[in-house]
Amino acid sequence: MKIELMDRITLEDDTKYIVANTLEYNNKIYYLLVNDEDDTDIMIAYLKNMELLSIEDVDEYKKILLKFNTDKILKNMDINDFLN
Amino acid sequence: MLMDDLIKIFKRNDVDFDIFKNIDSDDCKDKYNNLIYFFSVYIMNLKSKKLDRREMKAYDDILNYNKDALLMYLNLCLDILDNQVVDNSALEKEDFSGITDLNGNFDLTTLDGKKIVLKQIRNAFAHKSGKIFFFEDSGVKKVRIDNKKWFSIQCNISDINRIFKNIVLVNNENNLQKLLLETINCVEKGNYQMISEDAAILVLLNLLMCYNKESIFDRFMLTQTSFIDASKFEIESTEYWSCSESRMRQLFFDVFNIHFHSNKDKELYEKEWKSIVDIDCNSIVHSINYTYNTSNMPYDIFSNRHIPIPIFMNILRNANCHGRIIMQGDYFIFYDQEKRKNSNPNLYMKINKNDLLNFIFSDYFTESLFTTIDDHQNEYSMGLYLLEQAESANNLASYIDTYICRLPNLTEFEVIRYMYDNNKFSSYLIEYPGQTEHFLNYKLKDGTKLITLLASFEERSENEFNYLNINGKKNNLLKNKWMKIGLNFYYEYITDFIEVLKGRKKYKSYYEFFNLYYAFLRNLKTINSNIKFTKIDELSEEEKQIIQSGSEELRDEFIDNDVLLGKSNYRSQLLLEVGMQQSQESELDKIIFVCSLNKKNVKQDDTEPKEKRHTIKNIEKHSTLSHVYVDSSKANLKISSEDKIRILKIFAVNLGIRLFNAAWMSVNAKEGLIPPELGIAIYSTSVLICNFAIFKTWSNLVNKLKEIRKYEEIINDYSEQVEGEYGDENRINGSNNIRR
Repeated sequence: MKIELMDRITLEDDTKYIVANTLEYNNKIYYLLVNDEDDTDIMIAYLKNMELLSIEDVDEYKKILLKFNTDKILKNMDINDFLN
Repeated sequence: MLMDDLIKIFKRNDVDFDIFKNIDSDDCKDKYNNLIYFFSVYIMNLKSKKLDRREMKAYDDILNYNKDALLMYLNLCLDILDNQVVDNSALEKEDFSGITDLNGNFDLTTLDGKKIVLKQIRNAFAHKSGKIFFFEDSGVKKVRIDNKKWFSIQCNISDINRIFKNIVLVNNENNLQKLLLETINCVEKGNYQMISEDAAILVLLNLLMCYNKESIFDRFMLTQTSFIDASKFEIESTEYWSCSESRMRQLFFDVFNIHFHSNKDKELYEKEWKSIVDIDCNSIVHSINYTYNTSNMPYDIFSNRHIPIPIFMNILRNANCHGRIIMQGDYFIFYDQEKRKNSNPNLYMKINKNDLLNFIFSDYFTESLFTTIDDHQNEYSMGLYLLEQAESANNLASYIDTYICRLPNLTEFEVIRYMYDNNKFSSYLIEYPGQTEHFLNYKLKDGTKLITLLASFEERSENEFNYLNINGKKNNLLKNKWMKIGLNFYYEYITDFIEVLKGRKKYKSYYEFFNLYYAFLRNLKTINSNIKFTKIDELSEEEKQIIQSGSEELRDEFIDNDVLLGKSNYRSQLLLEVGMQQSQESELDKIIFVCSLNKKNVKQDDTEPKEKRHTIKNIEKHSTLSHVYVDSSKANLKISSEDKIRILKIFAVNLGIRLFNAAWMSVNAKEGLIPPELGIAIYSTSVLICNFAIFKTWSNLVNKLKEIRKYEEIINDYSEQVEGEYGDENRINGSNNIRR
């Protein structure tokens, strides 16, 4: 199972998350997920045994959040590209 | 407005003035509103000497009977006017034994206890959640005031009035305070003829703007301007425009990648720029003024424009909530922020007193007095209020029909006249510019063209309306461009914000940070060019003072737990985390701020799981972008329209995180010594708050982007036509010469 940027993941409870960024760190690939319907719901998770494990510990969460390279997304996605 | 007219309206709506006989607090507040409105209109009529003795006697009787309630209102106005008017030493001496604390929560012998009670009385009056109930018990006029679950008092109204009167700290330089104090004296003596007209205006303004239960303001906003959302309008600052103009110009050239090829071209660009600035910055106001009946709109002397009603209402409310109202001769000036003497407000308007009066006594408000939001929604136009929900309103015929249903006694012609007089068409076309064509061709039931009828109102030619079509399309294109510029500006702004955070060691400036942070919070909701970038060294002592007092004011607000309260579990949890579990509702900005001010955080629940398992049901691959990775070039981003929103979300959330991370790193660089004002990272004491901070940034962006997308769609509908039909016109203004 390969999860990529911009994929939409549906969980068992039918919540849908969009993959907003990815990060390879400590031999794991972390995904920054944004709930498709609830904008306040942002989740960092990684894959283990075909399951997503979300980070709930705040220190861990912050640590990983800091590692995400947001500029790579921001620079590549020029607003004008999809407005024009 | 004449008293006769008002009395007729009151009769028609079965209004009675016995404020001491109520069903409940809502009923009481309604009566209160009516009484104050009646009072103000009466004062104005007294001044214009249009009343005979018999009438005056009858009206005086009404006011005298309700005198206690009226005085309480005036005392509360005085208090709301300026929080500084309380004399603490007088308050300490004041006897509160006449007040019964029904829940037994306060010690009314202490200064703190007394302060809380006064504050809650004020809040109960001004906020929607508060309840006021007047009643008569054995001939004594009493009031019960409830606010929040834990505040409930009962007392004689005269006791409350006595307390308010005794604790006022008189400031001779404060004209408004003086006016109100004089008014209170006159009312006490029943000497209504001595009350000044200005005082009546002030009282009305307070009434209009307070956050009463279903206040007139709310009713007005919901019932009368169903199709305008005030938040969508911006008026450019009259003060800072010049400094942001160059910045916007720079952005404009950047965004459109404009290069000069010759001096001639350069001149054309300048022209283009001018037309953008002229039309777009002021577009909405301009097009209204140019095309429609502006007689009902208040006229701003500073900007020399008629101001659309919702914007005006917003200014009034801001002035009343956190700004200033100043009287200068025959003029009222409304500042949107800062109460301090030396403040430097960034938005203000000046209005002639008579203009203000005409506005206050127009149909808008009298109608708002008697139409409750519920009635309005149920009876006339179910679900048509919020634009977002009003798909069916995106059709001129159903819009007109709404008004025909609302005003069943009027003929179609009269309804159209009413709509025209009250700027309903202009509001509608601004919101739905795509309907311009429909508007121009719309025919009434008897086959008359709508614009023929509208033209006849002002003895104009119907051809005058035709340019609307051209302007509508052109304005739309310009508007869209402007939105793009705005978005970029927003992006730039955040970048600047980050830069300042990063470079904090260099500046080491409390003010610098706060200035930006303060501006950031205030401007986050809108793309606002009024942001002032000032380095600390350039700030005057006065400005530093303003910033510091702004900071303290916000902090005090939190210490007092003076936040609006809400209900969701999510919010409750957040409030718990920031130690504000007493509260039930929150304002996002304030939560973040309270965290940043290092308010004591409640400890994390140790039982919180470190990881949570989620089973994946399905992974939907991105339709066109599954091959796109972060390193791909711009050229690879060929995005189908259905994926746009997804990308926008990703874009926005990454932007939010970028800001958050920058702040966090900046704080960390201080190696544990975290100044309170840079405690932005402290709010990440839980995953929820982390997300909250990020959400705050990106949700606004997403909304803005969605808005852009909306306009994009509208433009797509007829942009080809514009190119084809009006190509010549474009050439004249030089836009075809711009290389993009």
